[in-house]
Amino acid sequence: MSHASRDTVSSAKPWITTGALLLLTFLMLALANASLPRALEIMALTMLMLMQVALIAGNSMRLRHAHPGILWTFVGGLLVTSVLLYVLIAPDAMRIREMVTRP
Amino acid sequence: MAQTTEQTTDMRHGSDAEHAHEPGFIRKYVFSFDHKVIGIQYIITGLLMALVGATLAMLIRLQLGWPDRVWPLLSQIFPKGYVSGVMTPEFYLAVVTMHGTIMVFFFMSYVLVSGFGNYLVPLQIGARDMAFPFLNMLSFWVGSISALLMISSFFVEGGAAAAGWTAYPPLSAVASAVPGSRNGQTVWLVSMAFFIASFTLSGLNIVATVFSERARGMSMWRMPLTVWSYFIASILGLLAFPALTAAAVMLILDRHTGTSFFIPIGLVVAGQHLSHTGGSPLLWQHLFWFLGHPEVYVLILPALGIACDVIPAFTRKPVFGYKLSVWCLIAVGALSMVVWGHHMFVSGMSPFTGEYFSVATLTITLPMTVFGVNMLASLWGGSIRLRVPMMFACAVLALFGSGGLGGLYLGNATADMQLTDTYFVVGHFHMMIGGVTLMATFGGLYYWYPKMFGRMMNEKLGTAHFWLTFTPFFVIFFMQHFLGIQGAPRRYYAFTAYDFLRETRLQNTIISSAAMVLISGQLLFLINFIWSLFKGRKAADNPWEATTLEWTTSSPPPHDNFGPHPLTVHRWAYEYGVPSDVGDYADQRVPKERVAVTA
Amino acid sequence: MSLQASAAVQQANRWDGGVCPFGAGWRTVMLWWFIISDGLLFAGFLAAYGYARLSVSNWPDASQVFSLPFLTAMTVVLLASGATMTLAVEAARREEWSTCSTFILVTGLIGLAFLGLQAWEWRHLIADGARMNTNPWGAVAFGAYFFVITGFHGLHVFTGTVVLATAARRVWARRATAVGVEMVGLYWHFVEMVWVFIFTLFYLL
Repeated sequence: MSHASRDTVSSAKPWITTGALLLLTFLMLALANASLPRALEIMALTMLMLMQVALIAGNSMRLRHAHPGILWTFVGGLLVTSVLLYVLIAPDAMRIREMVTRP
Repeated sequence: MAQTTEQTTDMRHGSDAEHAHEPGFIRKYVFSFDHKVIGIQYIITGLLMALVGATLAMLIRLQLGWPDRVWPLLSQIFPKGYVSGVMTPEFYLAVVTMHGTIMVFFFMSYVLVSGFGNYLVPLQIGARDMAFPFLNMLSFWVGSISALLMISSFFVEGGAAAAGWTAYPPLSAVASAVPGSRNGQTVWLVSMAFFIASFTLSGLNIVATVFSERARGMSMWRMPLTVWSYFIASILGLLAFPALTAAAVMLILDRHTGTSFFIPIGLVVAGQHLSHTGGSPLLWQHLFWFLGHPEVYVLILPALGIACDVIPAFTRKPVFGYKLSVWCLIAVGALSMVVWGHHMFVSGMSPFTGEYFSVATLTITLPMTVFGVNMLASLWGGSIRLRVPMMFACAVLALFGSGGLGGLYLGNATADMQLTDTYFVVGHFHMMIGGVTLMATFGGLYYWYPKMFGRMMNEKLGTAHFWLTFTPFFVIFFMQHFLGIQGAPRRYYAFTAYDFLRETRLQNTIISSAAMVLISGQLLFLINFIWSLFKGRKAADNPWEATTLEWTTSSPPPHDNFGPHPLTVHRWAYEYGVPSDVGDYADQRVPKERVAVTA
Repeated sequence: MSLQASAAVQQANRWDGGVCPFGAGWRTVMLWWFIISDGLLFAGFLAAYGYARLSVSNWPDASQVFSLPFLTAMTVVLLASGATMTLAVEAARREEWSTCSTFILVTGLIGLAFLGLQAWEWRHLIADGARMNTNPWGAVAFGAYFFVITGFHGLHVFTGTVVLATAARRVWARRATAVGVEMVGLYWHFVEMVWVFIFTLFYLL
């Protein structure tokens, strides 16, 4: 049996995704080189990174077409868990720096 | 449409692949794809590892109970560990480390999670096998390599790892810190890597099986609590273990390539100034406990699930608050991922996160308490048949309640400052991940033994075994709470040098004596297990008159579990106390036309 | 009986058993969980890196250490392999197996090119004095985290190329299914996604 009728995705699409990813990459490089305030730089780069991740996960890994359950499993299981891990250990790192650099 | 094709291939794969011809001995019992055989392999490997762990516990208790006795015999068995009959402190540390590691990872995880999980999950959801039988076999054999490595670490130069089952650096990272940190620690880390690989494969299989292989009509809300608990525990394992993998890789690098992920600057070990700079031991603690805390829930959730399934069969009434219990399991699972810091209150962590971890930990007691009360209410008003599995299920409840109370003190940062690293902690966690899980393991073994081997275990021996297990267990670890309140620190190999602990001498002797009773009592189980295998009364298909699917097939079940015809589930797993043509219960396959569905 | 049962299943909720909940078979569910679990391995490394970096004040400035044009080339290469992988998956859906096989092979070759670039980068940095336990630019942990994180990613790329080679052979021999190719694609895109994290968090920030 043929799946041709079902598949309406044109082969131009991967290049659009890749093009968008590349564009974001160059934008990020430019931002990293522009001497922005540190907080702004971190925020901007993280946002752009998440956009890239969304592009790859959504288009390339086809999460946009998958059941929302898989999407939420992925977001909760990987992204939220990682953020929780980092957020809860970061205060200790900052405390170490304070203790080391305090005169 | 692609998915539909995939499903049909799945079903076809499931039905024809294994039927072609009768497999030979090796295929059937050694490199078997059958989840039941793999489950039993895990259980037996785990029980053998428990023998090792229990022997180590005996060495610990001999030392603590009678610190100035001389043991010439032990000197012959462990020439390096006992110098002229007296245990060396280094050997004590190695023994404690290996006892913890073996019991947590190679006994409880094997028997309770991988063993019963493999055996029960497909049977209880009406599947032919795990989703990916080959992966299942692979996970068992990778796990065996891990177990063998762990045992072999006793025989390497310097002896087994001695930095505790938590492997805190710098003790675990600096080879000169303790003899066990020479080669033993490396073997320990490599063995853990294999273990994590094996556990991940097994977890993937359980999650995918529960997700996709349920029989018709077996909705999520009809699954027995055991299956729910395995589902949640497997997800927790998949989320938590990778952090330890990362940490273990970094620790190995610290040990062998001179990096300083975990070794701080200016460290002096054995009079030598180390060249390492810039690492943070706190980081290891975070990464370890990010795994370590969910891991204890990975162990305890299946224990609670098993108890919840055993209880209704012996009270002849449905489990109380089924849906609420499931939601509690989910809440506990989710919360368990974000409370790991309560193991680190005295580590010098940020007081702000400490406060958070305290509150989060106390929050987790809410769903846990609701779950415990549901279990208690499941007993209320039942017509109780006090058989051996039921006794152990009640023991689960008893230890869960009393052990849980200790958790309230330890979860509170202020109280924990006083109690941490004392025997209060030892008593607490032995009651929870030692006791609750041990009682559930025995309860589960007595309960499902007829299904696994087609014969009943001896009831009288079982009863004796129960009392010889539960009583000394409770005595030992209840008393240890009080030792802790008196200030007795854990990990010390003798208390003879401290005036304020002189009073605790008698307590330690009593605890050690009780421990000897406990361990000798397990001989009864061993005898019962082996004797019943050959001489036990033949078991009926459903000897306990229970409702879940595994009891609807023969004992032991055939290779494809339920025969060639697909089965359909019509009701939840706890249809007790309803009049039917077989008695006061209806198994999950009975259609609603024959017996009314209550939930 | 079986007709009735299948009709009942069709009406039933996806969570009722006999049907796969997320419209995904066990292979897909298992692969997604594997990806999550494997991703959390990198989360562990990256969180540790973030911790180490926050706790010192002399973390090297990335633009002093890395050559950004070179890094851009690495990123472009990996992103291009993602595009060819998508093309392979689409060809598999249309059952154009030889096209599919070619694209998988191309993806694998681009993956190897990425590994080559990474080896080049490592050699360059090692020549500059970067080691696991020391480096000329600042905080000691920098070198260790650099080699561990990029090394593990490289290992995943390498595993990916092995998987791709196997898949290309199977597809060429017409022994593959569209779902199978899609799963290879999922893994490859996951490796690509991990690079996006590493690129931003380690190289740019």
